[in-house]
Amino acid sequence: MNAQLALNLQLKDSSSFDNFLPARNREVMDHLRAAVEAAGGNAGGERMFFLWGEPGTGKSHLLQAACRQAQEHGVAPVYIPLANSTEFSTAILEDVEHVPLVCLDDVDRIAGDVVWEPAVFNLCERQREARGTVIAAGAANPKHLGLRMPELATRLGWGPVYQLHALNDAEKLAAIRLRARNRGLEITEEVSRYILDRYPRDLRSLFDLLERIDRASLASQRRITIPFIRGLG
Amino acid sequence: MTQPALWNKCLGRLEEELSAQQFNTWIRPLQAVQEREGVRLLAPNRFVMDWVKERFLGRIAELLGEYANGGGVNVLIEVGSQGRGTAPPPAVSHVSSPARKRPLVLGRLNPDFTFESHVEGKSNQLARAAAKQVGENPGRAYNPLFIYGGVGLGKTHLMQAAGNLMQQHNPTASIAYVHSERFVADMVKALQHNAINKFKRLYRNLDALLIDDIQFFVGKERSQEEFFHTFNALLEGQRQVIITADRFPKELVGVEERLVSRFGSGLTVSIDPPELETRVAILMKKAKQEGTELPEEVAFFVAKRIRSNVRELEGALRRILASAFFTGSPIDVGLASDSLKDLLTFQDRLVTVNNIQKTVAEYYKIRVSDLHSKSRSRQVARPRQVAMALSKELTNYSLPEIGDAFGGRDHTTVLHACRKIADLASKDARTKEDYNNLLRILTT
Repeated sequence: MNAQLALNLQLKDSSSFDNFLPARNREVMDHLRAAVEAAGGNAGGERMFFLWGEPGTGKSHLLQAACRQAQEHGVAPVYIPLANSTEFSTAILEDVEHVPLVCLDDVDRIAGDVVWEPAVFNLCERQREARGTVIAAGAANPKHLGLRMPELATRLGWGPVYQLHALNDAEKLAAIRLRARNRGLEITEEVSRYILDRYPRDLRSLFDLLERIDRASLASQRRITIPFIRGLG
Repeated sequence: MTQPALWNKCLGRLEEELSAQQFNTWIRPLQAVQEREGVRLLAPNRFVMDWVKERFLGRIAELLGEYANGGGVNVLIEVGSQGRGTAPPPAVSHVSSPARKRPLVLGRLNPDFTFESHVEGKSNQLARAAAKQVGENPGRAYNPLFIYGGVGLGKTHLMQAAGNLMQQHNPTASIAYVHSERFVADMVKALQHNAINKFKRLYRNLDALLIDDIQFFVGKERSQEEFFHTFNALLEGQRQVIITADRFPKELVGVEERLVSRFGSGLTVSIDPPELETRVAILMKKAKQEGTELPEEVAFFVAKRIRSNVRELEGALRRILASAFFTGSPIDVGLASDSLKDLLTFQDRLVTVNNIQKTVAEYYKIRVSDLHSKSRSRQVARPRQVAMALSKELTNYSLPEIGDAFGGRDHTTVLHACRKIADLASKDARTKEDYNNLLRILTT
């Protein structure tokens, strides 16, 4: 019952540019912000933008942050997580050229798919014609995504292509503390270091752990200390 | 409270309740319109509308009711978009209802693709001259004009430049540019909606049809048949057809023979990959269009590395210009080199502890099993510490996991190794060099 209550009171970590720790990815973040700002306008600005990198480097975070910024500027964006493409059909791409900003996440997941690849290609063409913006992200750069359609690969790479770089340990430490602060959690540096030294250090796992800590601390009404974390198992 | 404010409150709550992915995929694309009877939500397409209706609409209505001081709010959802400023115009002005279908619209010409913005080189000379002729004398010079060549070499640019020239000479002419994939998709949609006659009329009444990447017709018999009739109708009426493909007409296996022979009945010209000088000229011209002077050595540096297609050249250029702008750095070879890395490098799979152990063992000429052993001799202990430090730096494994991978050692041993190597590297040039060498071997 308590756990249930704790769940409802939690603060969510919604992705925004403000809670993204850029580290070596400062340029891509600034450029992306500018591209979103220009989306739907007549001024220059990028029509195609591509992000790639290892899992946990913040690709989805940045795409979702772009969507948030667009919405705050009165543009209702479209976000399509292609990792889930099997759950829905290519009909999700229909008519989206009427939307100034389309974000395609996990493009590598449709590589080799005879239905999805042409559909995404078609979307890129329609969006280009409508002078809309496409921001896409994948595990590798467009050349190395393993797409069967070279036409799609060259379209995805028509604009700036950025690799997102993983954070080093000191930056991860800062990211954990920033995320904790946004949740209203007090985590000392000592505790953050303990986490980094004892648990898998990719950001996704670290943030998942933070969520577990938050939930447990809220439910048990205990301060976050090393013994408390050790007790989580 | 105004309705958008009500909707914003509702959004805030839904963002709390749903996963980030659900919220961004299904809720964020919705637009809310205040109406006297309630709130009308606009979805970008039927698919999103149906999904939201089925899974989220009940909760949305509940929340809107709650925020409207407990009063019931009537919530409707339909396909449509609110035109805003310069955003791409919705097919139906203001708000469309699901009952109204978006009209079939043919592709427009891109005004950026002109002969002035095209860079001529040996590789495209003939195709450019032919396209220009066709632009000057549509329906008479060469009909059809068939341009073929690899991906991203400028076929679309030339074809549309011809179309723009025709339009310039005859502003009332109805000229359509359509990608073959779109032709197929639109035809399928027309068949589904019993609008095939309208589809036919639309295409057959054109003054000029520019159809791109015809290889998309391979194996699509119904589309080929429809296109064959459209094609004949246009040619008979002396209206211009320009076709592009990634290969010579006769190599279009899977396209009907009668269509292939018709493709070759006009003029067939090829575009080859641009030679170095043309690639340099393209880069400098594009940079100028963006209002920047690109140093020639930078243009050569990029052009030597990107050979295969113009789109990639443009992407690289945009990235270099952006990097200069956002970092305040001058445009030089160093900046270009850094920018190109992201475009060209192949990200191998993540570095693993096994891989690190193998590389370190080879480097120090010891066996991998030595790294796992209990031996504390210096010849083995130092490489082991280096390998542990590299594992911490290059992988996301936790320290206990790294300890396990080195013969079941404790995480404090790993921590000690990392500190020891960091300390040695700051004092001892040899250790620093070894460490950096290994880092380079493992990451490039």
